[in-house]
Amino acid sequence: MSSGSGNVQNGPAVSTSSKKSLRVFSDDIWKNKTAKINAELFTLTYGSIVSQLCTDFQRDFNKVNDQLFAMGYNIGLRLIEDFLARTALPRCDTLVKTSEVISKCAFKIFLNMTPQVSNWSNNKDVFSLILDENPLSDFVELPMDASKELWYSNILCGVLKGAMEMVQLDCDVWFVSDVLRGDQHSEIRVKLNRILKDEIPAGED
Amino acid sequence: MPLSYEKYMNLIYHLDYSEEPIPTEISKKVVSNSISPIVTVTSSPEIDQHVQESYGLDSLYMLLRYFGDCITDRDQAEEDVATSGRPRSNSLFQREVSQFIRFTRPLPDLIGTRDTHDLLFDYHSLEVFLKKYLELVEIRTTSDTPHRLLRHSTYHKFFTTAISSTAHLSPYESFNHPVVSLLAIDISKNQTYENARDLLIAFKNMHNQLPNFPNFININDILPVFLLCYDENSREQFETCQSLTKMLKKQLFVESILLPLWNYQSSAKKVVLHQPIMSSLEETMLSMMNDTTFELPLQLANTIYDRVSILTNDLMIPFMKRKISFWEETILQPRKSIFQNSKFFRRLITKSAPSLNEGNSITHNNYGLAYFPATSNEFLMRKLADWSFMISDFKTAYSTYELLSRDLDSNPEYLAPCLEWCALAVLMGAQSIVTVKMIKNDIDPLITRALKTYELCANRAREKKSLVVKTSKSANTSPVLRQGTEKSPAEIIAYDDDAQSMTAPSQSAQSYETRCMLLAAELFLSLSDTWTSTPYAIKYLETILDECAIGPLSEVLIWERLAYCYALRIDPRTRGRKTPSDVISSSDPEKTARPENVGDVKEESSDDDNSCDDNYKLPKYDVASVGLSRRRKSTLFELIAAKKWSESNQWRRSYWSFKDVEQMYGNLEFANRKNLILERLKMEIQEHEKIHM
Amino acid sequence: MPCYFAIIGSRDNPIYEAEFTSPHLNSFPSELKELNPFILHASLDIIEDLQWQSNPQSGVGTNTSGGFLRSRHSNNNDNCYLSKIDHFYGLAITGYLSYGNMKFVMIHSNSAGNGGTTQIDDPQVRAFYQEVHELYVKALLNPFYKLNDPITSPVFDSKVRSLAKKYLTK
Repeated sequence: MSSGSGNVQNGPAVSTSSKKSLRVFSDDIWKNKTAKINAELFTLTYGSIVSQLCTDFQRDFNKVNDQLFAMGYNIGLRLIEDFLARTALPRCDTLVKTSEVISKCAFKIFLNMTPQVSNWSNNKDVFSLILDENPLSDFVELPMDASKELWYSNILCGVLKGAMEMVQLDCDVWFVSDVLRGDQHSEIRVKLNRILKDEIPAGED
Repeated sequence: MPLSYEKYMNLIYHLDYSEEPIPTEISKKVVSNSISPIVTVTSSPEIDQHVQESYGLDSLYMLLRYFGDCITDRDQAEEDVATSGRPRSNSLFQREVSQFIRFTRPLPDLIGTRDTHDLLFDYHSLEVFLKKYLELVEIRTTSDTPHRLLRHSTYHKFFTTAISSTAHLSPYESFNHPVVSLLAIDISKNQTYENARDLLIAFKNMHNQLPNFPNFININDILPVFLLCYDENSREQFETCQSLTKMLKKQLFVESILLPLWNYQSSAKKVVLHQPIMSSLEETMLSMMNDTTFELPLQLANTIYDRVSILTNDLMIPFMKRKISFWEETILQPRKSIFQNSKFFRRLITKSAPSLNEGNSITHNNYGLAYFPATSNEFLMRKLADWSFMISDFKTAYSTYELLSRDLDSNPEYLAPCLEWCALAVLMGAQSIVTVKMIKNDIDPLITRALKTYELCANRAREKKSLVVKTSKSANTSPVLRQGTEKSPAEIIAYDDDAQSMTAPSQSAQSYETRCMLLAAELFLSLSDTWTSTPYAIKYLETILDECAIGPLSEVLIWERLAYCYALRIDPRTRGRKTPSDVISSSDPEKTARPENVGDVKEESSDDDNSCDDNYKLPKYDVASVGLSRRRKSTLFELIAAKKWSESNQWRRSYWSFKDVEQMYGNLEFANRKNLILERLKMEIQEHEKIHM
Repeated sequence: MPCYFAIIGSRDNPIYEAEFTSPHLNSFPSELKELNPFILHASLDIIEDLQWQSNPQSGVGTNTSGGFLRSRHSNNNDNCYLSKIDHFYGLAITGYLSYGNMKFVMIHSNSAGNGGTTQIDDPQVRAFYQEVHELYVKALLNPFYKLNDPITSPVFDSKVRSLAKKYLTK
């Protein structure tokens, strides 16, 4: 969900370098431009999907993870469109900037949360999103058999992957830890593989 | 042949009936029987010996006692009944007739055996009896015998034994006082008018000759009737009897009944006699210990029943009615007059003449306890009420008890049973309908008050005992104490009595308290609206368990009874509908798959496939009946009964209870956990009953 | 006082059970331990009875506001708490009914172990039930939990136990 290719033609002049203004900007969108639904309904809807998948795949949780990822991927492919339309953010120059937009803007607008960005690799191509809260997994307690294998919120990884792919960022996204499994915090790892160049449609830029 | 009252009560000897439903109105029948008029049998040694020679029974009384109880049923002579189609006690139109009587030993015997003990029953012998009885049950049944009816029968056996006695004379009520005295002479042994006269004189002078004849019995209130026993085949003896009857009537003013008792052909068809239902505990025990059975010619059995019904219908009941109307006129009517009935006037009267009534009427026995003599107004009113009760005139009984209870405030020993029977009269049918309001405002308060009064009696008796101990320790202080406690004549203490004998009255009051609760509980169960009435029954039974001194086996029987009470507690509106627990216990296809109904299960499980999707939902059942039954409660009490049976080593009974419990718990997973009581009981029962469950 | 607490599902199936004791108190004697579930099961009859009454009167000193069918004018959920619903030879049984027809029941034993009747401290017990009810609702929202299934979550268990410590077995 990073920003990428869009031009600055019709967006507001937002200085994406300023953390504070990005936050204020996202807050505004969250407050005024986002249609909201009941959190419990949302949580339960997602929960029942996961729970149903577990049943459908005969509790093969690796398959469930893949399925969630695939579902997320499909969401991400579309969601980026909505995101950009809403925010009209300019292209990000660096992965650092992308990570900030993801954390402070994308998560804020869609889930009203702001994960911390940390654990940067030395060459700044891998970072982590630390989720302090996770509206998807409210009330959830993993059953015993699932707690070693299932990444409950794996759909998030899919969404990130899908969205970033649409802005020419080929990433790997995966969970490394989850409070549901008894870990200290939930952590999503994002690794940039390459920036896709050749897929820009001709004449677009 | 339908299950008769007597067969039900003696079900253990008639196990082929054990799948019948419980007879209707059984509670009322049992109560009627337990207070039915008493007939004493006095016989000369000659006749007793003749009986011994002819039939192997010790005395004429021992023979006649088989013919008491429900005389209209003629249960000892069953074959004949079947053919003649005689209406049984189950049929409607006999309800009003006093159909029960009880035979007992001659009055001097009764006075000789139990005059000092005022205890209605002592729970030790009751316990021994139960133990014997249960042994008998165990011998005569297998673990697969249908047990439901048998269990009720056993409870009623316990019930009658606890509440009734043919040998115990209470000074406070007249139910066990004889109404008729049979004086038997044997014509075939040449006994004549003189023998009869002597018997009658001895009977009439009994109160002068017996040293400890209780003054609460009045010989004149007992109807003497001669029983002339003669040889069936002798025309000559029959004629002698007839002329003797006339002579006795003319000169002694006593009626006679002719009984052809002797010389039946040995080839005649015989019937085996079964035990009478209402009998004193001692006699029941005795007959259970020695296993001999007695046979009588069928014809004789029928003849005896004929004579007994003549005695009852032609002599005893008219006699009772005569007495009742006489007492009504002489005692009740003046009482009901405006002066007596209004409290204001009564206070005036008692103030002006305080000693006239009470001073005269109370006397004391040699233990210093105050009794009304048999001729006192109070006791006659009591008797009037009791006798009305006996001949099923519950309305009169109720109003008389009610009236009497106002006069007895200072005599709790009298007040308590009076209140008790007042309430019971309503339950027995003094009003055609017993409403919730009546129970709440009338019956229950009466019983509660009766129980409190019994308690008061017990406390007073206990106080007296401690007082006696005290006074005997310090003789000097006794005058002071005496002054301090001389509130009513009843509290005067015979100081020379030893303290030991004083324990009896307090225990006695307790045993009557127990009886009161047993009776009330039983009669509440007989009401048709069980939803409102069973809580009262449960309350009394639980009080018995909590407070009364009864043995462990009696306790288990009461636990079982409680289970039955709860099972009965179903709202009449929902009777016949499926209850949630029914649905629950029949809905799990895996567990119901027992070998005997495999076919059914298959159908069921196909039904269940449709409803499988509903597993997350609340089960569908008739919502209207939710909460309107007490099945689970009932099962809990049954479970406890099963446990208690096992603790008393009554494994057969335990198994039966277990079988009933299983129906509810069988499909409930939690109940069958390894560490819970059900599983443990199952193991133990399997081990003892040698069955596989 | 030791307590035995259970949440009973719609098919009379216990979905959660716990015995609350504390080191300085007696626990249930073994014969009660094996009987407790049955006692609770039996008291369901009473709950079912009370639940449809507009003014349940069984509770001794009950101060519940009206029946479970609450009136239009009251909107608190006090009436879930049924106070003392039953007794069994000195043991008191209290009940609480969730709106989804889950029955919360508990046996209270007096501290002496046997004999006298057990007194119920209604405000405390009510608070306990209400908080357990909240926990139950949360447990119910867990997508992996199926209605009427046993609650096996150790978190739930430990939370309930700490509530018990707070309100019951002080």
